[in-house]
Amino acid sequence: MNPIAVKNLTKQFPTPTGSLKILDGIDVQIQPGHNLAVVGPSGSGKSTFLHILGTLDQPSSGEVSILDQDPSSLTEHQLAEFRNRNIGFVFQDHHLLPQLTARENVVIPAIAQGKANPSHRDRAAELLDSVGLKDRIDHRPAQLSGGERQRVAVARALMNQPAILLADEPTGSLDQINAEAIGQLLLDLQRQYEVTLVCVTHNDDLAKRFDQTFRLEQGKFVDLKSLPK
Amino acid sequence: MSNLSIAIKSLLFHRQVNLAIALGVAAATAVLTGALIVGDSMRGSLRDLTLDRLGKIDLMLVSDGFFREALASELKSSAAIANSLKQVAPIIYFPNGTVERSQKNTPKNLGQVTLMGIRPDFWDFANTPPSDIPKLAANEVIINQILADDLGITTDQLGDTRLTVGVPKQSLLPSDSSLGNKSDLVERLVDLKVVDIIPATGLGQFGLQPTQIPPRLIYLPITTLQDALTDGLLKYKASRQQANVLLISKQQDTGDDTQLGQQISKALSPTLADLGLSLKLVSQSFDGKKIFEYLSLSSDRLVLPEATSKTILKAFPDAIEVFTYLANDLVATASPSDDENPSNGVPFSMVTAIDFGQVPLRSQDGQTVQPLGENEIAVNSWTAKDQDLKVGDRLQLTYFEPETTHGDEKERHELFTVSEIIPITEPSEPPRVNRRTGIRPAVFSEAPTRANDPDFTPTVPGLTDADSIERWDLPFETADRIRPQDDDYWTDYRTTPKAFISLATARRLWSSRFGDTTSFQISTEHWNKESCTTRLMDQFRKEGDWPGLSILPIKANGLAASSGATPFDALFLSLSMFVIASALALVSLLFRLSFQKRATEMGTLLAVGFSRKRVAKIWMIEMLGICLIGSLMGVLLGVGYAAVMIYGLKTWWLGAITTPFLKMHIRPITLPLGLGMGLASCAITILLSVRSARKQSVRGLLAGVLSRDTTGSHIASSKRITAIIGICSVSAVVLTLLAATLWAGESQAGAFMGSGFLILIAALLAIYRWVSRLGRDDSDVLSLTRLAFTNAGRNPLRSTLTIGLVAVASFLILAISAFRLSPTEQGTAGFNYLATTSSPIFANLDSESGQNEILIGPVKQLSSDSRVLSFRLKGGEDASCNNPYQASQPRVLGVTEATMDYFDDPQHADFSFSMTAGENPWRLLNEKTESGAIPVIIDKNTAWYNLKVYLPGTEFKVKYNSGETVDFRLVGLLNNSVLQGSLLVSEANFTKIFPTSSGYRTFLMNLQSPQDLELLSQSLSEKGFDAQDTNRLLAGYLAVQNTYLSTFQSLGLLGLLLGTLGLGAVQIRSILERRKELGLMRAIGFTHTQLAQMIMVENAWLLIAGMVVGMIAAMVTTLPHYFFGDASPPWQELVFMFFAISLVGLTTTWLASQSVFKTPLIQSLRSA
Repeated sequence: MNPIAVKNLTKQFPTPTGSLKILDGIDVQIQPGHNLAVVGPSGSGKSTFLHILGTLDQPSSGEVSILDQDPSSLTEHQLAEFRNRNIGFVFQDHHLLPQLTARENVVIPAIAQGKANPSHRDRAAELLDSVGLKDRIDHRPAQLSGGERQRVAVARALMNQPAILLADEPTGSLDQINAEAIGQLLLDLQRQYEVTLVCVTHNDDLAKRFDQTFRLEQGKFVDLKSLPK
Repeated sequence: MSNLSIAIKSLLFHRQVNLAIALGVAAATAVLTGALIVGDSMRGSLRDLTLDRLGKIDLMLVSDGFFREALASELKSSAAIANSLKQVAPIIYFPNGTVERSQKNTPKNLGQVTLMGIRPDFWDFANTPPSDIPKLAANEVIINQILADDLGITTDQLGDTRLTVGVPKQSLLPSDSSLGNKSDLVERLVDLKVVDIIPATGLGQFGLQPTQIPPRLIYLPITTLQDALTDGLLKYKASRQQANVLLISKQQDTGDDTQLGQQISKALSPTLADLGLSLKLVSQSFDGKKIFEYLSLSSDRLVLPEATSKTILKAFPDAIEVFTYLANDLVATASPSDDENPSNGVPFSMVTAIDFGQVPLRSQDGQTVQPLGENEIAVNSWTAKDQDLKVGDRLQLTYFEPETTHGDEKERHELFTVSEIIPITEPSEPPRVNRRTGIRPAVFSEAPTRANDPDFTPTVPGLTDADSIERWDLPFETADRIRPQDDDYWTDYRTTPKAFISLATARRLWSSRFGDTTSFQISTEHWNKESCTTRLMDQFRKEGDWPGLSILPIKANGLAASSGATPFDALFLSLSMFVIASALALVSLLFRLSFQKRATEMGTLLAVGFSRKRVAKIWMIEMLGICLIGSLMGVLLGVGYAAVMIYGLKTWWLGAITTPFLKMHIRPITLPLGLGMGLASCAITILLSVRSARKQSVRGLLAGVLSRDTTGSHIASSKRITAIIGICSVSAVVLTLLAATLWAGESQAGAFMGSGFLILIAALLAIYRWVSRLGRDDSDVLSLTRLAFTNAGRNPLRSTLTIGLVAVASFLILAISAFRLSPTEQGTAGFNYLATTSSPIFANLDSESGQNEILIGPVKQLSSDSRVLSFRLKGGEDASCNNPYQASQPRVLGVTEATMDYFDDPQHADFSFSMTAGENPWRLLNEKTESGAIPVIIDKNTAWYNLKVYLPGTEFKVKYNSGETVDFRLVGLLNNSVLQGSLLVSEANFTKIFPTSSGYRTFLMNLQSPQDLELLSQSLSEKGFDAQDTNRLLAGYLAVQNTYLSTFQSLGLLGLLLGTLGLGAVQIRSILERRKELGLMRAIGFTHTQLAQMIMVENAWLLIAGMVVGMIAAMVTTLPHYFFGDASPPWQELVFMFFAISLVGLTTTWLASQSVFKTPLIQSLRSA
């Protein structure tokens, strides 16, 4: 089972001057537990690609299979449930709820499935420990630095033990040291929890550390570094 | 690019949100404009009603007696005034008639019917003279629709319906005087055919009193009424063509009506008879030598009113005052006796008081009688002989007190010393009474003396013209005491006084409210009848005070009264307070929403170099544009809002104005005023909303992040909040206990309201503290619901303010119910009926003898426990809150001593008083005031809302049409009583200020059985007896207050509905602020339903918490008042109202929650 399989994926947007094709016949398959980085200039369609993988957006044409499931066959409600159980997100902005503590923020994905119980709290603490925030679990976002907030966001993405972790410019708003640390954290956790990681980034240094790296150019993937067979 | 063009482009680009703000502005302006229009409409409608009711009648000349019809034509042709007057017509006007419809088995009697004796020219005074009014034959009448409805007469019954009309036959002599007639005061006109029913519009609702309630009117030919009164009031008039009112219409552009009234007064040329006066040449000669000769000036009513006497003395300073009184008995005695029937005395003798210095009476020895001292009496020779009196003997004079109460003549005795015996000469031929030519004087064979003058006694109809003493028409029995010699005296000397006393003594004994002079003797040396009349008329004209005549600028008075007792624009502005506040809150919220959305835009302008001032100017231009557009829309909507309010007042809230007379009126100034008020209030609101924008950093604005309150720490410390909560709670408890035990009425309701408000403050502070701590507890269980609550805690101040808005609105809507009142025993003092009569009743209905005297039937008694308290009544305007006109001459009730005694008894329920000291506040009516003002008790609603007199101790003046200007001093305020609309004064003061008003016409009755009411109704139907259930009557009065409260509640609900829309705006704002978070939650798998549920919980609890807090505080207000006071909250309506509000609020919340899903998920995630 391939966690992610994309075939002839296209995405185009209507504009006043006609249709604008952002993604143009992308084919990619990602093996379980592997990681993939996508780089490219602004507006090249990296985030659109990631949103399609995350079932937040639909392709204009082509086939997308996530964990052997065609997202287009699911209802809005089923998609939400699917995402909640199988996909973790890390965005450039941490999107933490300011009124909740770090641990409560991490627990949030769990309450989409009902009440969060003590076991969820324990797992959140464990995750926060694994992202290096053991001492910050009861701190609110306002009491954390930018890098720490993003660590909380990473921990939150792993709360429901997803098979896939999608990161959209996870280091985009961080300084170099924090960016370095978060990038490494993502890769470490990917390996630790054996999730499939797809990360879109401007950060070439980060991209180089991924098993597979593609550059998006004129809607197509250019293979920069393939996984050794 | 100019500021203006940037502002216009922004206005158009952000048209969606700007339109929302403009709609908010429109709502506020509409309510403001609408309230002004309601005020215009009330004043305009009252004015229309006045103009319609009076037609072309501008002024009226009103007499308390009768004058010649010809006075109308004389006035019209008077050179001094002819150019100013258009039309003058006489009518006979009786506002207190009765009508009986003859029906088989069930005759229907109605009192309080206005009888109009008219000529055909009456209808010319109508604004649109009716073309099809039938000419009335002698036995035909026209009635107005109100009377037709009350009698159950329809147009198809015209011609077949016969009515009996009771005409109040005012006694010539005041009925309350000892000689005044107290019975047979109604003349019945039978078998009158109804030939037309006219609508109760125009002259079909004619009346002197400004009121919106049309009177019952019946129009008869003036000649029919004149004929009916021929044997009564008009009996002694030279001509039967008499009237008591002149209707006057003026030419256009004749200026001020009051001045015109003064001109008319000067131009009037009434005869003495028109003024109820008579001037008679009295002369006695013997053998060509004048014994005496003078002009006798007297009144038709026996005693000359004090004011008239003063004017006469001004015209004739040398005139001799004469005061003649009827002595019941003159008996020689050694000591005073209280024996009511002295057997040997001279019965029913005239005793005259004069100044002996002016009238040269001579004694038996030919000496001039010197002025008499106190309790000295000079008897004539006939009396001296009859009683065997000598100078120095004692004589007891028995007389009735000059004024009666309940028609009871009270006999008094006074002991005199005979100081002189004055001879009189027996005539050789006694005077002869001739019905046609009058009395032929006596013929003397020996010289008569000065004392041989029957004209010391003025003409007293029914007495001085009687053939024999047995035929005297007096209200007491005389026949059984008349001896043969008394008849002989009457035959020979008629009204020649049998004794003389000094004026000082006479006035001490017999002075009354009716006056203390019966005639003036004016010397013929300088005056003859013509010159005397001219001189007197000139004096009256100069004084501007014709006896018994008043000129009323009735239209000007009516128009002045139409300014209304209540400023309806202010009233409706205050009633609409919540709608306005909610609309402004909505404007503020929407504007802040817009501001927040466009913070980046503002930051960009600042970043690129625009000054803050210029950015502010651009914003202000745009916002003023929005406000102007909104206000213009609001003015138009305001007309619609006013139309709805007016429709409401004519239907749902009819209780506030009693009859649906309101029509829309808009003054030219109103719409610009409404526009200006709306524009100004909204612009100020917007300015206040964005004043914090000046402090926002450019960086923050560029990032779209506005600084805001997150902790609320600046409000108060936790300890201080706890202290305030404690103080409020304790104060609320203390206030509730005080209100429950010590206070009553509105003060009690106010105290309960205050305690409720304190609870509300405490609860809101507690909520604020709780909300501030929301999410701080690190609960083991994190749920979606808890997440929703913690969201509310993110902005505790905003959440608390939202709860507060809903709570205050809910509290006021509910708590105002505490002021809704139902009739209570304190409002009726336990009396179950309040009755009025058209004709006065003299008998004391609270006594067995009085009941025996007046009740008709086999059982002439009420149940033993039934009580009837009588009040004197001076008719006037209803100053209760049922009358929207400003009362200038409110009716007055005279409170008897018996009534005060009744309330002295602690066993009897009393009325509730406010701000009034004393165990029995009614006794305050007897207190003397330093200023001489008359103490008065008034119902609080009447005093505050109509008369604008607020506190006990306040003095105010009232000028009555009948000429009296009365200074009143408020000494007590009644709480919500059945005695609304009247001024209550003591009987003693009443008779002093209204001397011509006789008898009792208002009755508070506690009847123990239905048979009592039936007996009274049957016995007194001819007198126009009309009893009303006090609870129903009081409910009618309270309905005004209750209806205003309903209006307030309805408009408050409208405000709350607008508030819920505001709540929706807050929710949308909150959702916009959190769209990234919500986007993330969508991304990580929260379903629409879950997010909608979270937002619903988050916002619904603000709404429900607000309503619950408001309700709890309102319960504190209403429940004690419900248990201890007069409140009668409309529970069902209130439950329905809050159910409706909850439904609307939750729907708004649901709609707001749906806005989350309108923004595409990815856009939400990316939004800055």
